Amino acid sequence: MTVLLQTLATGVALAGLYSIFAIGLSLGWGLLHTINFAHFSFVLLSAYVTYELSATGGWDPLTTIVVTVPLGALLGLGLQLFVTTFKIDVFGTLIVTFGLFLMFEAGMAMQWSADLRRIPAELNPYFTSALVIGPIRVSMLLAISTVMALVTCLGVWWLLQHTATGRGIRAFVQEPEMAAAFGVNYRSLALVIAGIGGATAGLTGTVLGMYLSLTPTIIEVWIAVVFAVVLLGGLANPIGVMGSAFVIGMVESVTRQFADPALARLAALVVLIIALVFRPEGLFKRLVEEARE
Amino acid sequence: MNLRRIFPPRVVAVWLVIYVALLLLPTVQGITGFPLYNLIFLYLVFFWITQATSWNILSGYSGYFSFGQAAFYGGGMYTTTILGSRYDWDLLPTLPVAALVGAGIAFLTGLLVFRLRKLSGEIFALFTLAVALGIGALVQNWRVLDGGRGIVLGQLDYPDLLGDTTEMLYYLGLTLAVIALLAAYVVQRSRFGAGLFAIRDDEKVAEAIGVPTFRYKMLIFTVSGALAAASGGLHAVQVGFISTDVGFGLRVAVFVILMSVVGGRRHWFGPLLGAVLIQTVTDRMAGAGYAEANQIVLAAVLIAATLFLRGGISARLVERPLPPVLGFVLGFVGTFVAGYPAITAAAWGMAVGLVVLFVPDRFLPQRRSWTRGGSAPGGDGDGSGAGTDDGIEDGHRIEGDEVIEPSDPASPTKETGR
Amino acid sequence: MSTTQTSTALLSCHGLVKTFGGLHAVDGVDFDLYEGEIRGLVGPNGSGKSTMINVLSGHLTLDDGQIRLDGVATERLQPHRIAELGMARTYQIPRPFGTLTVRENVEVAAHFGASEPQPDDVHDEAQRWLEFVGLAGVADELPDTITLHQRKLLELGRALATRPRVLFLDEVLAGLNPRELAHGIDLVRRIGSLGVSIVVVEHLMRVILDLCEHLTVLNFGKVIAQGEPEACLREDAVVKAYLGDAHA
Repeated sequence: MTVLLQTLATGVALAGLYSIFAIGLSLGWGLLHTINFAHFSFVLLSAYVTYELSATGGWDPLTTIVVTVPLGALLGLGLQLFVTTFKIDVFGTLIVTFGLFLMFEAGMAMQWSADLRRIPAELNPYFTSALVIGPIRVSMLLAISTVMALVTCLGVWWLLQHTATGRGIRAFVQEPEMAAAFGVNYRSLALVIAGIGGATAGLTGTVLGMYLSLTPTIIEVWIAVVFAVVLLGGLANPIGVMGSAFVIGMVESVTRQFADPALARLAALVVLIIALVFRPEGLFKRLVEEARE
Repeated sequence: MNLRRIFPPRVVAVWLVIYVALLLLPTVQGITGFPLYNLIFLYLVFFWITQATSWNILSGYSGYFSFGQAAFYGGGMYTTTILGSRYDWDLLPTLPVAALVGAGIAFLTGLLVFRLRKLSGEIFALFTLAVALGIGALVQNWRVLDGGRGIVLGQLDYPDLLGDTTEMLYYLGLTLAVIALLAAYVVQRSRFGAGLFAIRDDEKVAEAIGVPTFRYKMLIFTVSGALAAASGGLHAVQVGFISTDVGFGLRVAVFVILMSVVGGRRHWFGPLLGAVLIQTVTDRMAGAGYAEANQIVLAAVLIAATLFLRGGISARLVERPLPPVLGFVLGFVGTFVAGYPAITAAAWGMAVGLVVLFVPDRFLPQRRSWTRGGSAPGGDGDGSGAGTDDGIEDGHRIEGDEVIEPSDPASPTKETGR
Repeated sequence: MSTTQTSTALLSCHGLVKTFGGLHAVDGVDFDLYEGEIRGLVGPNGSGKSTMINVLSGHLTLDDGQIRLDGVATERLQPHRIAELGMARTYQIPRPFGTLTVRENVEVAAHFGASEPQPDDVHDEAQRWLEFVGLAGVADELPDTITLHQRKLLELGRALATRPRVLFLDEVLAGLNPRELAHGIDLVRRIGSLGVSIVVVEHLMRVILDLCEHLTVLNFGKVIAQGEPEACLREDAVVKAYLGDAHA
């Protein structure tokens, strides 16, 4: 029983991490037609910033979000401006942001070298302490990130469903011409969404900066699993992202607990492949259906 | 099929001369003693030509952009490594087995992905990426294959005829590159290629005019996988220590995409151009200790090429071959005579050639005419949307709704210049 | 509604049904087309014409019913197999292969298309159809540099290069100016005189009356009239469908 509860708790914690990582990517793809490979770079850069401020600046790592979140938002805005300026199509954004990803990777390798970088344990209480509820232990960091993820995803959901911005952007994705005729200013709404997406990258980066030993290529192992969450979640559907993150988090957690821990990531990929084959539209509906054939 | 149309004698002669010259090069090296490094460098060029071409016959021709090159390359690499290091196979027989493994991985992936009802380009790209990473994770975790420690590949036996390891790699690398290029060339000029190009432009319409799209996609994917895996198998010998990072990392996909996009995805020699160019730049930059700067530059080139260079270098080169080639030769000879190493000279030659290539047309001597349809079907002339923005003048064509006079079918050459 | 000559029909459809969700886009249609015939397929917007074409060409799978093309069942075949049997179509909004020249567009079709007869030389075959539709002069242009009218002709040329026995023309004459229209009507007649059976989907009644000996009128996925054009258009159900109940 305890084992089951522990497995469930770990799954939920992982789900939190995955959903906060995936939500920005999902928004960009579903609403802005940008498949942002550079999202991973934004996250890693923010992680390094958290590391730098904390390890050499002596900040409490959690407080670095006042830097990383605006930084991420700026990066997201910059990318969106670039994409609209050059009118890049969905597929083009995948290649172009892949190029950006490589540039960031090399840039970070130049700045921080290929050595492992980790915030010293004494400066990182969130990583070392744990939340203990009865027999269950969850890392304090993962508990915090789960709360962050819940707040972010629900916030985005509320924004899309219940605000003028959200209604405008959804209308535009569904019927661009009609929405434009009704005075929806896509460009500025898109910037809002891109900024939010970037801000979530900053938030994710701070969490990962506390969680991982950083190298310039560490982020590559996250690519597949995060895209799995995005695709299974149904594009731009915050609730779907949380749901699919939960499914994948549980698969990993169960694999770790009852099979070989090393196989956890592989299991997540297998879930993605199986899901794509049988439900290519994702486990959850995308928030906005597009008016395409 | 008309063989003379597929293989125009003049074209065959030119490439045959280049091939024979390359075959003789190691012997020349033995006699004149020019730096051995040049042969190693050329092997790497051949390797990248094979990889990029194998990627391009799938992704360039059919339009299905793959991020999963590593699945085949790494699969081939591990096949040769495991057969050679654990079962003491000779090198040569491992290569066809590697090709089979690559073909098998591609075939199974294709069966899964091409059956999807709503398969978009983005999903295909990410799906292939997931397959490559998935196989990488499997190999990493499964003791029978690797288990995460990596494998050292010792010396493998091969026929003495092929000389020392450097020469052997050179000859076999050249052979694989030639096979890949020949495949790309024949496909481009055949009915098969015409069908693939139709799939790339509009798959539904292609199916409606009778192109067996599923079969064609499966076939080209399988061939692509086999070529990539055979080349990966050979490359295991060059690498020596095989790990999942080497076999299934992002690097291979990055480079084949970059080379093909820069060189041009719609022409069989686009990836060849891209591979030569980018391997030369990378070699010089890395040699000078600028590996990271090189990655930044290459990534910038990838972005710029995606945005501004839709047909790649090859599209423009086909339209205007002579000036850039002359530029290259002058640049190369000039720097070489000045005493720089051959590869550095080649890099300078390419720089000059590229500059000449992208000089706007009005600064160059006027062309009298250029042929587009003069070549064979599905041929060279698809210089669509290349960097040229000199537009095609309408002139006589679009005047009211008059029935257009048929041109003389005997001379498909058409004046569109000014 | 099928006529007595069912056995000799080139294309014979029986009880075709295609639904989207709960909507019956095609609802029990019987349809026969004879060798060398030019048939008009008309009806108000959303009456199921386009769905019919998509079902017959294999783009959409049929929910129920039978299709026989010269006796061969095609309702479970993939589109390219149907094309091999000699069925071709054009698209309402031209869909040329964008990176291929006009000539290459037609050549691809000549490479594939009907399995019988095979062209001796793809290049010559393409040239022949380019001249037939009047595009030989722009054969080496890219599709986005030619006019809309020419792109529509390219649709025709590409479909013809597949050597069809049955050809569906989906509003191939819509949006043309009067002179282009006259040219287009003449072209369709010439195609008919080659022995190709043609189904013309069109909104312009003048075109239909000019070209077709027989009409099939669809509304809400059902055949509401079939036969001589003038007689068809006088039927109550047809008038109602087009003009609403008040005019019946």
